[in-house]
Amino acid sequence: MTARRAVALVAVWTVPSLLFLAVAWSVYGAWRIVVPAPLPAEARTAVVASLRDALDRGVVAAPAHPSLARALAHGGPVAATLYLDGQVLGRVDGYGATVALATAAVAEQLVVHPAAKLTADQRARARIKVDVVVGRGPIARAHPLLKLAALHPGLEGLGVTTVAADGTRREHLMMPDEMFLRGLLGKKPLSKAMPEVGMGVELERADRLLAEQAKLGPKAWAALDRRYVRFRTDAFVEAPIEVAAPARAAADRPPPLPLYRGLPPGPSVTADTLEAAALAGARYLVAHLGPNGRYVYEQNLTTGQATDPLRGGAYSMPRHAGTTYFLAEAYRLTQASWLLEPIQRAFAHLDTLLEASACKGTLPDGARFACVADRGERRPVLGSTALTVVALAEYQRATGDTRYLDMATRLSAFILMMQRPDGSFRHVYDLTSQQASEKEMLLYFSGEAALAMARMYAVTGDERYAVSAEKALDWLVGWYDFFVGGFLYGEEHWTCIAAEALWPRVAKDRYLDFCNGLTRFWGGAQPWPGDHPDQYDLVGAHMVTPFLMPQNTPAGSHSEASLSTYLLGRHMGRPDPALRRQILATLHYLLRQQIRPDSDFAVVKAARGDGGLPGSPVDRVVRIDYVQHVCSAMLRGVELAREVPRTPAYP
Amino acid sequence: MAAPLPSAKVVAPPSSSDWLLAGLMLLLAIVPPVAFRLTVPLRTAPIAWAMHAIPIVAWALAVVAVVRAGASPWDLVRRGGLRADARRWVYAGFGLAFTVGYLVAFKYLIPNRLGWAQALLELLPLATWCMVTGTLIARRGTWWLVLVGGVALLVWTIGALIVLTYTASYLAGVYGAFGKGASAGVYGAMALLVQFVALLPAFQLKWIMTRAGRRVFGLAPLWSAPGRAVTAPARSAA
Repeated sequence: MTARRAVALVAVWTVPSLLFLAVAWSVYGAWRIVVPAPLPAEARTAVVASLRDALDRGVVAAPAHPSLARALAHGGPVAATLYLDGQVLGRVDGYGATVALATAAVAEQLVVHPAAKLTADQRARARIKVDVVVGRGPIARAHPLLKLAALHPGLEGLGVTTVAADGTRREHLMMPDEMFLRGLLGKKPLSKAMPEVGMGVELERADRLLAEQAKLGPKAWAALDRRYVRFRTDAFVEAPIEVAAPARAAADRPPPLPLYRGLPPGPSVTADTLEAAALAGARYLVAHLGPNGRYVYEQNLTTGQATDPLRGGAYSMPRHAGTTYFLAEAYRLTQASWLLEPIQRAFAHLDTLLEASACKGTLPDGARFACVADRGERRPVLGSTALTVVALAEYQRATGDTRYLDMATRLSAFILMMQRPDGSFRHVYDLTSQQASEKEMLLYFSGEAALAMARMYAVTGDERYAVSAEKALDWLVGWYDFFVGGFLYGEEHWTCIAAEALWPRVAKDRYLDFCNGLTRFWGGAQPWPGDHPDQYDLVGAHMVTPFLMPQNTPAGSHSEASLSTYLLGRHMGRPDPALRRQILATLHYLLRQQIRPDSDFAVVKAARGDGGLPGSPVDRVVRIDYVQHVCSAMLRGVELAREVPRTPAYP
Repeated sequence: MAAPLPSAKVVAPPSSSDWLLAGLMLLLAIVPPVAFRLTVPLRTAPIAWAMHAIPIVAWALAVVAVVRAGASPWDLVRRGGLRADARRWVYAGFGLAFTVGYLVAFKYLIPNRLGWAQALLELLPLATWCMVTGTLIARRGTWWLVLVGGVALLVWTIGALIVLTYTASYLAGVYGAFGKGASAGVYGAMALLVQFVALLPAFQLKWIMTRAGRRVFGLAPLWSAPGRAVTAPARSAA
């Protein structure tokens, strides 16, 4: 081989790799915002104490702590936002060469800020949130695809420096949590089938909000030379105090809580924390149950806007029934007496609908049937009836009260009528033609119907229901008997809950094998510590990719099914410790996501948000089924956490 | 004594299979531009659209050259290539299959709603079609057509690999992680790109640069073999 050939050979094998390495290194370096370690707890306390002195006593002094001598690139700023009962009273940005100097600049402004004119009681209740801007980077605002991932949701804010014609420069910042509190993140649906799953940043609306913040009209704003950046912050918030004794509690206020993606750290997973969280969720739902037995379907925690249960609008009967099922389950497991009346109120609403509905009749064998149809609904779906049966059976299991058994039996007759000989179900019933649709198949309903039959067997011992549930499960599990059936799964969480509910009447290995496969599939989509360093708060979530924020509801519903799978394995002598750890990791994630007194600083009082579960870490809308699934998983997880007593089960 | 007259040039009459093959080739020269027109509106990608004239023009020029040389146009088919080489037909066949595959895929399987993106995709069948046309005609000028088509495919592949690398680096920079699924997806996409776009031109370019490949196009070797004189092969009528 000649020297020339040798050089050519080496070049062929190395130059392309070097080229791609150079591209990767330069691009990563250009877009990465390098952030320092968060301030230690003592430094956070010193910053908040300095701001408290300014707010409460009008005293301005730079906080003293060695970590606060850290230099701030671009002068920070340090931004202090004052919250009272979930509403923003105002925000002050202070610039300085170090964190201490920037904090002093904030304190100076805070003393004279109009928002700081509060009564002693209000000052005690108010909570100061601090954002120290610690790093900046460019933002891709123009590229149609990169815009979808223009900034890291919940961790990065949007800033703009405006340059007026006379050369005056001003900076306007929208803090990372403001981005989702104002509904600017994850709103572009990726698929029409799942409109609630979205990504992207609403940059145009964010720009309008920045213009409002600058108190400029659209024309004046457009006339400015504007340079946009994204930035990261080290954020923390004052801990809440006991409202009943504000004067005493203010002095004993706990140290500030570090925030990540707008939330403080969650509690460890123990039987007590899980039960408390589940009951908090139940309280949220009871507080959002109207006098007519209909729930406040959706609640925005930031604006307080909500659907009105007394009027029409978006509502889902399967979710109404599912939510009531959770309340009945909570009563069964905790015997909390305050749950009884709301459960009965929600059932009364279903009864009213049944009375008014045209979906009823008598079958050839003389059995009466009925189905749940919402007001004006001409094509009721199987899921409404199936989950109502599940809820009614759960109530009977919890109380022994058989007052709803007749209703449940009529609804079950409808479910049996909708089942085909092969075990599958028809999902839609047309009231006009009095015929079931043979073609339409909808998500979840077959599994829900199987669970309804299994639960009816549990409360009545009627063999017809057990046979129906077994046939349904055989069909559901058998559907996956194809080439790549063990690698792809649909949303089969109800199937595995039903498989466990039917034990010991039916104990088939194939049910357990299927559910083990399904939970392994979900486990593969679950990040573990170290997988995504910037997203350690999402460990345990069920997510497809780090670029798409996880949804909290699937984490809850998958955990419900995983719990059933774990229990089924235990029943059949094959408990899976890895599955237990997987479930506990998800519950840890969910505990942090739930709105609690220490994380409700940005939740308006009218929303009554404590105990609620938003749709995702960057969403502030709570829908009833989010709470239902997550809190049901928490409540059933109590048993799992108790397996190792006196120590946190996770982490 | 007068010099003997040169023997008369005998041109064999075209057979029915010659007509069939010539017609088929002409038809195939038209198909990709027509298919392209169906997928990409002219106003969204005028340059890419116009580039589809290249193989048609190449074909037309070859026909004109043959006629001006006093031969029949079907000689292009009958005597395409100055030296018989089965690889000519192998590469033309693969090129044709890739062209059809690209067009079907971009029209029905992975169409892009953005005109410019669809035009970028359409550069692939255009380039393979240039290579097919050049290989089938196999004359001095069309050697360049094959070269340009092949290089275009390789450059396209490198560009796409850089875009994928850029995207992955960007996302890792913004999100602090890229994730196992996304990493596997990008590696898979890169492997598919190389397999479905770069391999054919890489092999074909290698062939047309060799002594045997150049000979098919009536060209002298690019590099002299040690101890061997370099001579251009005799040219034919075309």
